Amino acid sequence: MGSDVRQIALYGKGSCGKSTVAVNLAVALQRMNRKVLQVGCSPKVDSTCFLLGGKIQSDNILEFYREKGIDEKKIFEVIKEGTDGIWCAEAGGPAPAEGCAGRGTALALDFIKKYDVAGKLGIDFIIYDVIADVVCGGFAQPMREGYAKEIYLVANGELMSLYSANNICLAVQELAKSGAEVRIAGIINNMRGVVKEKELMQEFGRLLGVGIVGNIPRSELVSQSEAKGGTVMEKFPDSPQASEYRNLAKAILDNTERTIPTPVELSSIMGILRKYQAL
Amino acid sequence: MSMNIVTREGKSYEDMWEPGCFAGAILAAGTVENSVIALHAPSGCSIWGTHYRADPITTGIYTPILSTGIHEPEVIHGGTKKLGETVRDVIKRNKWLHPKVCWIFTADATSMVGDDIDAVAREVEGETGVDVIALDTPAFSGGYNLGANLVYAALIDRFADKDVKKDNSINIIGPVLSGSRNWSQDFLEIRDLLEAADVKINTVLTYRTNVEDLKDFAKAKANYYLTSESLPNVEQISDKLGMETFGKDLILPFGITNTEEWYLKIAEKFGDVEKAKKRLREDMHFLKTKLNQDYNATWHFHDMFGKRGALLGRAPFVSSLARCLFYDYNARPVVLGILAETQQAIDSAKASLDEMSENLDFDVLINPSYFEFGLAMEKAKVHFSVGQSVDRWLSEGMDISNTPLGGLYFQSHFNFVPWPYAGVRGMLNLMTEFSYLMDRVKIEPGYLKAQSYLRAFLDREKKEA
Repeated sequence: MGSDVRQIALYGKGSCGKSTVAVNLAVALQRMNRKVLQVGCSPKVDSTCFLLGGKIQSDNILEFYREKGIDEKKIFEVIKEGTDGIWCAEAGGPAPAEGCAGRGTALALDFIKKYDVAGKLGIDFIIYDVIADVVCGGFAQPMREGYAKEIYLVANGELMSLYSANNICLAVQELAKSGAEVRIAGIINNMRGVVKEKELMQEFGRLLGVGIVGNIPRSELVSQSEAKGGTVMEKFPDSPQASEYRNLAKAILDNTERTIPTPVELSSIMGILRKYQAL
Repeated sequence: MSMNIVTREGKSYEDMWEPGCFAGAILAAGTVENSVIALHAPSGCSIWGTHYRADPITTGIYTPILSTGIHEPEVIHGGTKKLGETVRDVIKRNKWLHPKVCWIFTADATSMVGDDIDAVAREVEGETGVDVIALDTPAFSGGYNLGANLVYAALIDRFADKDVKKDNSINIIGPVLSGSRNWSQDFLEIRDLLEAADVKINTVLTYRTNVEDLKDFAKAKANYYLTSESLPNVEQISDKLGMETFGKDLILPFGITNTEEWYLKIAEKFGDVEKAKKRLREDMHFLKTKLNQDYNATWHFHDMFGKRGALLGRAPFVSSLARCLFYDYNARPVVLGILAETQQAIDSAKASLDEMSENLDFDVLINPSYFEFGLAMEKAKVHFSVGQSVDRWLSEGMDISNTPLGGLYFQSHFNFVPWPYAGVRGMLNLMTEFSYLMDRVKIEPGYLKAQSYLRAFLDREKKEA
């Protein structure tokens, strides 16, 4: 993978809107003349769904590998072209309650790297959309050498979302200690609509030593566009919400922040919540 | 004079040849009659699993093993489909054996994947009517004692009747766990000795064990363990069945002195001491008649006298053999490598060796790495070592003649003479083994030194230092 390919990974608590942010960000970046590859790192294979007309990608890397094997040609059979020519890949993984999804994610990303998917498709921006929390080594794969060194925390003002973001910071801190170049590049505040959410997230970011790279308001347009099988960027391009995603894309393109975070105790997170939410 | 205990504080790695939990499970299950085994493992673990078997021994029984041989896709997506096919096949292909029990064991990767092995067991059991017992036995969870412990507990749980009237008999637990490579012949001698002293044996877990015999398992007053290791699941279930634990701190009967101590203690508790003494006298007489006027026997004892030796093996075996060398031969077992999985085995070994420290300086290395053991042998300037077939090259690389008397790896079992090491009569077999060793002590060192890469490596390290 060429060094000029910019690779970012989105991490955050389950259902905090990582995939929604990822697909809208992908379209925004593509429309800013970047050639984007989005890689879903979840057995649910739903990351790229709204880049593919609201359909779950028919083939995923691990299923294809199991059925037919993967080589430098076959890998391109599972990478599909979606909205605006964005390339979409899904790592795939086991059915619920079976197998080891972490190992699968690590292997799928290895294939993408090994067969130089980015180089051969002329990709210059990769977004890894990673399942929920860093629950095991496999899901930390996007953070390791040769993958994304730039991590964005997708979070909101709810306790468990903050707790999860803090845990991801712990993982990054540990990896950085052992010499990995992975850093936190910022927090994407994908707002849930809680009281004083911007201020709360600002303070949370200060505690971690990480800046807020964008505040994305909650919008009905997200579910409306999904109902139409697409992204806000595609279905409502002139909406204020689409502007927010464009602003986020621009902020990420301009962003040079790379921080080894300073994770905190749960009591500190509770302290912020009490301050802004009067718990 | 003292016993110097050397522990491995500060070392996180372990470079010992230690069979893991699934190897122990296979060993134990492999001595249950009409058993078949499905090992849910990638090919690497399958190779190890199938080479720690109980059948390549004299009096062993053949226990078929079939492995799932999983690959990466099964690690990612789960391997229950392959496991189901394997279990069905191992039962079907071995119908001639009339399987009564089919075992499913996991290895490391399959355990981590977390395949639902119980569901597979239930399904195949329903289809075939054969008892299918699934146990999670990854090597990282423990060693072979743990594996045997799980198998024994599962057998008791599945087949033993709970409400049985007690008598004064004992069950013998874990013949394979003694650590002797000649464990089956040792067990037969032990059983013979016990019966001669009117110790009533109820069932044996496991040596050619038929699951139907296990029905009356709880009838016994006590379980006599041929290992000093803790077997927590077996002990717990036996406690519930009202059975006492016996023998964890009893020396194993290798050599004359140990046999006498072992025999009288066990006869006192469960049998007839006078009958035990009578048998001891008979066996000593037998030994004397075989050795009387044997010129070579005189030479042999002369050869062994004062020789410095190193022993490496399972805790109960090494501690018994060390005492045999010291008390019966007047040799000097000065480096003892104790392989133990539980504190109970370590404590028991220390206790049984303590008496020797009144008259001998020796080091006891608890679970040493190969290099630590090798360097300890070098420092102590030993003449010979006794270990397992897998560590033979370590000794010979150090220019030290070796004989493997312990171990359960299949290569340890090239022994076709149906005679024990255990008991007074077993002394004849030990003498034969040690006399081969003494012969090699006389001729090998120069030869070994010339061939030794390890020696050259250590010499170079020393020079550079």
